Amino acid sequence: MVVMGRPDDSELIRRARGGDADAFGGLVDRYMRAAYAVALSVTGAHEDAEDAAQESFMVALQKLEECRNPERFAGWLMTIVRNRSRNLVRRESLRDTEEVPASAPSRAPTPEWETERSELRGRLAEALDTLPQAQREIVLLHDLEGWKHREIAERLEIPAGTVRSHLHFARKALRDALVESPVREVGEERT
Amino acid sequence: MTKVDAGGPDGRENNDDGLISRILRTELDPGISDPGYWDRFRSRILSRAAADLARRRAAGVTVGDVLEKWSRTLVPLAAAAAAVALILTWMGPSNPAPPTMGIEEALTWDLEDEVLPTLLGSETPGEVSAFILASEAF
Repeated sequence: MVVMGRPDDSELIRRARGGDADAFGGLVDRYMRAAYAVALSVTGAHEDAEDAAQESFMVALQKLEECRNPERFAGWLMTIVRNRSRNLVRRESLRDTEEVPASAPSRAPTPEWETERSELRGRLAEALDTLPQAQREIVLLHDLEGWKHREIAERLEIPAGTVRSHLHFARKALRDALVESPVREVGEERT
Repeated sequence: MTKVDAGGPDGRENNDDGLISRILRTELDPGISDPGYWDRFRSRILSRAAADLARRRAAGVTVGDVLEKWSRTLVPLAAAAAAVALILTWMGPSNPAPPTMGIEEALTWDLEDEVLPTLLGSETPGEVSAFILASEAF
């Protein structure tokens, strides 16, 4: 089925099973950010999330025939992402590696700005870390990837009310973590 | 400075939700600070997937596909060859080559309805005597 000239997941999966690189690329386009968001919600580190998300697409391609409900591809893929991310975290904890540095390079070169961003990022990371995994995943899918409540509910097969509830509590926890001290909005003009 | 206020009704967005979304995006989306990030991310995945996709394409080729592919080449070629042959046949050589004849055919050619007495009767007596003599000699 093709909606508004945009092939749906089932069509892309059918073609990708036959080796159509464009079709597989379409699936990657559609879900790479969500995969990254879910991976980040599990690993908490950019590099690990990147590795897990990319690896998950490879696994998904290898197991594409096992996706019996192509219309539920998103949920199936996110399950793979979650599992790969958990495995990665387990391996990382066994290796007891050093902490991965923050991913996003600063756009502001001044030390004060970098310090402020670093503090904000640290508080955010701590706040996210306190959330249950499901809440973390939902808030990142919603705020990072831009999935709507309904999309999260449908794709992850969670009741819409649960999604709203998770999102509410996740945001409240983040607000509480950030309310301790006023923060400057990123990108806000500095004085 | 932006102050982050606490609280908000369940499921409803407020200003702080928008602020938190922006903070999350800005701090956690690698594509914000690096505009080419997602293109590279996608390219890496597709590059790693290339071998698997090629294998799938190769595995998907059936006998029917091969025949169909061949037919796409062979049918026009055969049609062209038939057309050329037809044209050559139609044009043909203006002076056909003389028919060739075997020895047996040469011996009996033009004698089909003739019986020996008739044949012998048409010859002169001298020739007949020579023929009989030659036959006896053999």
